[in-house]
Amino acid sequence: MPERPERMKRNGRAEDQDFQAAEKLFRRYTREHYINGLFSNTGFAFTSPQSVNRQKYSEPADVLFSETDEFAKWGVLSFKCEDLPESFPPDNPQYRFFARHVPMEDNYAHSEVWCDALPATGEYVRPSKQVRKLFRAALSQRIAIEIAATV
Amino acid sequence: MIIAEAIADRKTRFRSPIESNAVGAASQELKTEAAKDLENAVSVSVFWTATVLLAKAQSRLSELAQIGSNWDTYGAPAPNQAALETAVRVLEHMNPFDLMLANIVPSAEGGVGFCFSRGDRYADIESSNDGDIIGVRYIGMQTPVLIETDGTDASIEAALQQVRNHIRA
Repeated sequence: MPERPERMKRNGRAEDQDFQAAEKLFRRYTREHYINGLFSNTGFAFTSPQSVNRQKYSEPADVLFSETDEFAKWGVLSFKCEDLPESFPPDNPQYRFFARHVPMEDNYAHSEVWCDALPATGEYVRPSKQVRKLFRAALSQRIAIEIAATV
Repeated sequence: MIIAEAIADRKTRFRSPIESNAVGAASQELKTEAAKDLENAVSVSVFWTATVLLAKAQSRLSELAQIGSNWDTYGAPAPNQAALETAVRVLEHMNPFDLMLANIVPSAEGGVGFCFSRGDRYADIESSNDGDIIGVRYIGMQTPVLIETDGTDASIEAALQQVRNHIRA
């Protein structure tokens, strides 16, 4: 059984909501959403906060870690915090997207991509279907492949 | 699968009754050539190509009907009956060009995505679990453009036409 890297364990560390613009956020993916060299937005969902791992406290491969090796052939993609717009959509700003550090005991880097309305409510606000579709597409244009999926 | 069965059936009919005499080799050669000609004729037939592509797409939808929730390990819902039924309607409007380029995938928001890409051009049409159909198209890093429908056959056809124009341009 693979051993969990020490950096993944929380070990009493506090939340850290300081995200730099260039910090990467990592997420697993499979090849079916990577179509002829383009990542399809259908692989993203923003109906609720989306889990990612933040670069500041993790390596890309950490999102593939599993005691049972179930993600051995999955890939890892990334986007940057600066890819999450402070106001969206550009022609009629209604929402703000941002990263939140939500550490877990066995995955300190765990974070979430959040959406709030403009002005802020402090809650996760589910954008309209049209805005979600545009945001998912915009984000998929900006992803980088950190580890290529083979499944 | 339909094509494979048709070919197998024709091959059986071409079987020579003479397998091991003086004309056996010539007979075998003739038989092989005839089978090849048949396969070529079938494979270039527009009708058969369309039939095979449609069968593959239907088969893919059947696969998606079997996946469970959390298929992306991030909690994605499985495509539900509404999404699958709408996806079948979208499929009915597709021509062989559409079918050839379409990648049919589960949507992380719940539903079925018909995704197309060529070079730096991307477009999709998504049939969602709440019964809606919405799509998007873009080139490279250009601002994405929504493809909206009202669920009618005419709007599905118009959406697919947008996809064709975008991908073929």
